[in-house]
Amino acid sequence: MERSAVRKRFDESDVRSLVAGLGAAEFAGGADVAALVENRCEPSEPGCKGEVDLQNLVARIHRGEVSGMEDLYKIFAQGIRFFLCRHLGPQELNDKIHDTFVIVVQAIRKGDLREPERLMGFVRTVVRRQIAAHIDKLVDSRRTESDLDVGVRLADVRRNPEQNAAFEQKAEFMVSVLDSLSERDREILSRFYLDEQSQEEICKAMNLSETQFRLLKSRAKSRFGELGKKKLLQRRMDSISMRTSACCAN
Amino acid sequence: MNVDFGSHFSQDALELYALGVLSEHGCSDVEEHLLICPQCQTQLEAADEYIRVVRTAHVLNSSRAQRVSHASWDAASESL
Repeated sequence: MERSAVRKRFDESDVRSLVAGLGAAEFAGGADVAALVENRCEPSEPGCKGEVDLQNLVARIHRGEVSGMEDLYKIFAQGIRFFLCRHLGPQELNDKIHDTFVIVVQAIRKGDLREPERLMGFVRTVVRRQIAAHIDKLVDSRRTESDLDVGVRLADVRRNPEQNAAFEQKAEFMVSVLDSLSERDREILSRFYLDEQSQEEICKAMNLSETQFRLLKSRAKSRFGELGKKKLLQRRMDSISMRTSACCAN
Repeated sequence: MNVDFGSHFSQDALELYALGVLSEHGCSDVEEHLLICPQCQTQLEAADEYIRVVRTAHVLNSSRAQRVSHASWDAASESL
């Protein structure tokens, strides 16, 4: 599965399995689940954008209202998917999202979230704990089951051949960008991106102003973008000329 | 209390987050926003990719430079 899985929306089975996981009688009705699925939309879509009254949302979930669950999905489903996929990879992603939602909803219904305005922070904490727990489990299973062929599951971060080729091309563009820079400018980028030194450290060590530092970084980025566009245009021109010559030959 | 989805983080801030050099406080602010903002999620993915590209390019560049210096050393020693 690819990174684009991050953008997947919840389907009806996701919502049904969450409802089943919660074991809440008021969530078990078919019509309500269908309504949940029917009305869902992404936070980026009109109607989801804007402001959400967290106090009201938490109160509705606490009371066991389906519309509260629905809004929780609208707001957080994609974000939770994004975080879990970024840290753990796409394996068993739906199960992990499901577990996260169950924890959040159960905590709210038990009244564990005393300050509704901290809902974002609370969800973030639950997601981070889920990630940490999963990594712990992996480390533990690697330690205890190292002799076995099965049991150790790691996120497959390899790209497909097409993505690999695109990445290699990008790296080549960046090599050209680096070649076009002075030794000193290359060192600045290397300190920032490779050695992870802070802007302040780099500016101090290399006697630079903040503006110079920002300028170099943005210049390298825009040069990289320009090269990419130029190569893309060149490729399109090549393909047009190849098609034209093929037509002429025919 | 209402949540506003509209305030996005700058590319610089997302790049610092991707590099893992933000403070704990800054980190939690960014992560809470990322949970609800698809636009910043996309920007962060772009920042991740850009950092990987720069790192790979640096490695390629230095290994090529090494190869060139080896080749010029070989050429020089041959002519000697």
